[in-house]
Amino acid sequence: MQRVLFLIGTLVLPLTTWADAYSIDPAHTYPNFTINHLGFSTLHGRFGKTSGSLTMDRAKGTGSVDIVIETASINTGFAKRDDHLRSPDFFNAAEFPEITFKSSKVTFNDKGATVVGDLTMKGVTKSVTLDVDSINCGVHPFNKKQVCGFNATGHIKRSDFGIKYALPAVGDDLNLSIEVEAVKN
Amino acid sequence: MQALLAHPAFQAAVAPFLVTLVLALFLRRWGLVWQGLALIAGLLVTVWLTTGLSLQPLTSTRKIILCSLGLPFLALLVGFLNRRATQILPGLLAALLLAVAAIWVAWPVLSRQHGWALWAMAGQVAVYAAVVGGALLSLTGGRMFANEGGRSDASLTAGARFAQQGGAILALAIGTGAAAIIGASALYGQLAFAVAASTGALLLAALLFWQWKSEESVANLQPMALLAAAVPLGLLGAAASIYAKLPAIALLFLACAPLVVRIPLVSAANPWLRLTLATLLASVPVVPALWLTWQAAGPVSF
Repeated sequence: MQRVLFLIGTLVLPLTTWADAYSIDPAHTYPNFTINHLGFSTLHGRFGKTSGSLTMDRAKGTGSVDIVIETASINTGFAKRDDHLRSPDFFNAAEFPEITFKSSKVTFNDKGATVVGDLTMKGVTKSVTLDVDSINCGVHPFNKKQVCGFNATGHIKRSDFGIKYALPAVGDDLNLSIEVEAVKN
Repeated sequence: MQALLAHPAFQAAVAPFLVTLVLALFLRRWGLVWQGLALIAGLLVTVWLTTGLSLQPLTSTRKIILCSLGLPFLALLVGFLNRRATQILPGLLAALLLAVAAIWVAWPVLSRQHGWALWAMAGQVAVYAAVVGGALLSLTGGRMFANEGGRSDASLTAGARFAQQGGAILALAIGTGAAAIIGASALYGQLAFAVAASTGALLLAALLFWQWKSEESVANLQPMALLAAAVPLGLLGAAASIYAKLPAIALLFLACAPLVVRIPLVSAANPWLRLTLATLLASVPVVPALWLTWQAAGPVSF
């Protein structure tokens, strides 16, 4: 009986593969955004602190992304404006210390992938689609670990998340650009 | 038109002033509640113009708005149900209501604190809101329904009491609004300025009724109106110390505004002058509050 079970395991085991799991590299992962300011110019900003994980199985064409962004890490290059963005007028970082994105579906394609997931910001969860281009994986030249990186873009309306202050003077459309690097576990 | 509706000064000053003034003139016949209703309506129009009227999800800002629009009615209901209790302790009732409301508003941050930090932060918001509510409501002279019969406070004339009430609210509202803006929340500032504008309209209407119709009874802000001002001002100040950059020490000075106004220095006979002097007197502790906030949060920049 034990020999039969061993034989079955030997045959079946190679057929089962688990997706590769990665941990987000916070030093090289930055969610960036742009927004129109009073119709005069485009304001650029980024969130400086992220964490999370992702999985990827190119053979099966599956994957997942789970990212947590520290709301208070917002940086637009001007301290007083950053204080305003952290205030209840906009992101209310004290009440909502985290912005999260959790994927529900990842579809690989020729260019990269399409990631559909739930973005939760200021207590509101909405489905958002991110377009991923050029997924690059390889061995890190210094630490010799397996690393994957990609760029993702998307668009949201801040009013959908209850961030309505100063509309329409400050734009409603937020263009997202997220650079991600993740290290294989 | 869209540009006008989106202008911060229109949202926070012109619109609430006009709405409150028009309603005060028309609701006068309803007796007890006209002042409170008019003031709440002025605040409501600013809420509608700035954030909209949605209450989902129930963020801390929406909790403040919900309490500001609902608690004055609750106090009125309690007053109708048990007149003896609320006649005795209107200030205490307001203080308790506001302390609980402040804890509820600050709860998302409080729930993440531990030990002494939790008690200190909870005490900071609850005590400030309670002092604001208790101090403003005690300016009724100890009666929930000021137009009722019963023992009246004979030590102050109607005009003197009116000047204290109006001066305290105007100084506290303008001070809270300015401090909130310096502390990086323009929205909180607009809501506080809306209370100032609505109160100004209410005072203007009351003074006009007093002078045109010689109705001295209108020269007294009713408890519902005082509570309609106390709730948003107490909660906005408390919340700004948690969610914006208003330093806790500034709350100490802001809380003195409705207390300092009791100093019997105002003796002018003209009610307009008396109100102006009372407002200036109540503004004295507001100045260090603004200076402390400026030091902590830095200069305002747009």
